[in-house]
Amino acid sequence: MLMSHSPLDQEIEFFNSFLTSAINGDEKYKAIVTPLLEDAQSLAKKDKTVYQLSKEPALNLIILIDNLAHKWLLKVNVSAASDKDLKELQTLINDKKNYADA
Amino acid sequence: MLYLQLYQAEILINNSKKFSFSDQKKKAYLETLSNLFTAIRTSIDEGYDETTLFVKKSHLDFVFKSIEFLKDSTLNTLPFEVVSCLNRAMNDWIDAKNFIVVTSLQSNLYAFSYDIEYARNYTFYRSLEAEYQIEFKRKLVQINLPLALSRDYLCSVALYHELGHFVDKEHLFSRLAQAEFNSMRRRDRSKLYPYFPYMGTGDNQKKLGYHLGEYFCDLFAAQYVGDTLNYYLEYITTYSDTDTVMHPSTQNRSKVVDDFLAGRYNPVVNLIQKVLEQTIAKRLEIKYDEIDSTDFYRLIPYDIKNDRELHGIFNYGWKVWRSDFSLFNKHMEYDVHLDESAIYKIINNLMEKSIGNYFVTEAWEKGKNE
Amino acid sequence: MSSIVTAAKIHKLIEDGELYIKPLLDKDQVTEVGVDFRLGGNFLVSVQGRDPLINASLNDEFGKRTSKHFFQETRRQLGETFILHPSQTVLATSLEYVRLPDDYLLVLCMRSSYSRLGLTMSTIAQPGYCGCLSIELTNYNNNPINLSIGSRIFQGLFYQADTKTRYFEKQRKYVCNVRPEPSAVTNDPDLVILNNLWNTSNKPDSTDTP
Repeated sequence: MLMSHSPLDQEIEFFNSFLTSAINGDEKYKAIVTPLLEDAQSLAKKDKTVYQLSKEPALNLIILIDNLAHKWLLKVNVSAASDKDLKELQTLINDKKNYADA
Repeated sequence: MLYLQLYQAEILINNSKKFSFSDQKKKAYLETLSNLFTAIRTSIDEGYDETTLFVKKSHLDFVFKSIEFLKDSTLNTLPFEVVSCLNRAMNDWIDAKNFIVVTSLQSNLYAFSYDIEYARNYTFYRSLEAEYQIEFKRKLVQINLPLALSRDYLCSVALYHELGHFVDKEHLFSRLAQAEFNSMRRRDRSKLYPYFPYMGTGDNQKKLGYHLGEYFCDLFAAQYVGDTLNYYLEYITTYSDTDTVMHPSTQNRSKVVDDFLAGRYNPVVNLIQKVLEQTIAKRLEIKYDEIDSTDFYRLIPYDIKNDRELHGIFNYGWKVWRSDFSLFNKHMEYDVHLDESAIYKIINNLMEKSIGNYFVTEAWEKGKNE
Repeated sequence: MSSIVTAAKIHKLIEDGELYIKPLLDKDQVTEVGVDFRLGGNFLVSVQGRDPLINASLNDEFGKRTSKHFFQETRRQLGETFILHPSQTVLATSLEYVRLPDDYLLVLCMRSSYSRLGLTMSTIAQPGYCGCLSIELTNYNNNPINLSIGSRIFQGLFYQADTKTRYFEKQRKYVCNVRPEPSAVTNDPDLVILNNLWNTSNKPDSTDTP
C-alpha cells in the first residue's frame, strides 16, 4: 500500500527560488516571501500556535522554516528583512541536507 | 535537456486536444494547462542556474503529470461504484469544489493510492502565478487502483486509507500532531512510546511524521469500513510486529484501530482527536452502520438506505467472506454448490450492485425532481 | 398449466419477497402482463480479434483462444448514451438485478418502440435465476442507434412452471452476474465428448509416433 509522498523538499526548493528572486530585487517575490516569514516568526516567538496558523495554505512550509531557521527568526525583523538577512536565511536552508528530517 | 522536455510536453499538449470530456471542469483545466505550457515555452531561455532549472523543470513535470491524469480519466471502464463511495466520504472532510478527482487503473497489483502530489502545494502554485500569472482554481487528484482488482470490493477498503492521506495533506493533521507530540511534557509523551518506540530512545522526526500519518489514515478508514482494513493489512504484511521507516508495525496499527472502534482509551487516538478538534472542530467517529442481513446469502444485493449503510456494505461483504459458507445453503434452503471462487465473485458482485443501486436510485430521484 | 402472470400477481410476488427486482425505479414498470426492464450501463462490444474466428468448440485446429478476446468492455452511467452501430451485436444487461421464484420462468423481448428501430434481442431466464438479465442486442437498422442508459428497452413476461425447480442444484456458469459476461460455451461438458470424438479421428495415435 503506497503512502502518498510529502513534497517538503520541493516546497523548500521553490521557497529557495523565491528568496533568490527577492534578493535580486524582484518585489513580486518579496511580497510572497515576507508574509511567510512573518508567520514563521510568530510561530518561532510563540505569538501564535500551529493551530492558529492551521488555516494558512503554506502551513507546512511555515513549520519547516521555523524548524530550519528558528534562531534567525528570533533575531531578524522579517517585515523589513535586508538582502543580507535573506542571504543568511538561504545559507541556513541550503546547509540542511534532508529537509524532511526537520 | 530542458528543451527536450519542452518538446516532449508540446507533443503531449497537442495530443491532448483529442481528449473528450463531458465534465466542463476537466475541459477548463486542460485549457488552463495549455495556456500554462504556452507561457512556459515563451519564457524558456538558456544559461539558467540550478535553481531556475529546477523551477522550469518542475513546471514542465506538472504539465506531464496533469496530462497523464486527464488522459487516464477518459477511460471508459472505470469502477464508478467504489469511486462514488470514496467521494461521498471525501465530502465529509474536503471541499470538493476545489478539486477534480480522476481515476486510473494501474498494472501494479497493489496500486491502491491517491496521487496528491499537486493537491496542496502552496509554493508551486504561487510560483505559477508569479511567473506566468496563471491560476489553477481546482487541483487535480488521481485515485489509482489495480486493473486486476478494480472489481474487488473487499480489497478496495484500502482506498479509504489512501483517501485519509488526501485528507491529511489538505488539513496537515499528522504535521500538527507531530508538533503537538514534540510540545508534550515527557510524562504525557511516554504514554505514546509503545506506538513510537524509537522516540523513547532517540528522536527520529522523519519516522514520527510518517507513522503519525499512517495511524491517522488507519483511523480515518476505520470510521467508514471498520476493522476490515486490518484484514487486508494482515494479508499483505503477514501481521508483522516490526515497523519500517514509513509504516508502524501491523500489530500497533491493528491495536490503535481496535481500540478506536471499541471506544477504548488509546493515546494515539487521543492525540489525533485533539488535533482535529483544535483545527476543524471535528472528531473521528464511526460513520458506518453494521448491516445485519441475510441478503447476500440469498444471492441478492442489499438495499442500502443511507450513506452510513453505504460505507457499511464493505464491512458486510467482509463479514460474509469470513463466515461459514454453509450459510448459503441454509438461506437458499438447498445445497447451492458454490465453491470459494464462486462465492468470492458473488460477494464482490453483490457489493457492486448494492452500491450501484443506491446511487442509481438517488440519481433517478434527483432527475425526477429537477 | 402455465400461463402469463399478470400485474396483481407480480406485485404480490414482489411484496412477498419471492420475486426480487431492484432497482425498480418506477412502479409503472410492472405492466398489465409483465415488467419493463431498463438498459444497464455495462457492455461487452464485439471487436475484431487477431484470431480468424470465435471457437465455440474445444477442437484446436484454429487455436485455443476463448470468445472473451473478441469482446471489449465499456461502461456508461445512468443518463449517458451508448451507440449501437448497424449489424453490431453487444452484450448488455438490465439495470435491474432479478431473483426469480423457483417456479417462474421469464421470457424477454424488445419493447415495440425499440424493435421498430431495428433492435432485436430474445432470451429467457430460468426459474431461480439470480443476477442482472443478460441480453444480446443487435442493430438491424442501416443506421446507428443512440440508446439512453436507464431507458426501458425490453420487457419480460412471467410464466409459472408446473413445479418448483432448484436452479443451483447443478453448477451454473453465470451466477449473480451484474454485468455481461463473455460466453462460457466451452465449459459445456458435451463439448468434451465431441472433442474426444474429433481427436480420435484427427489426432495421431501415440503408437504412430516415430
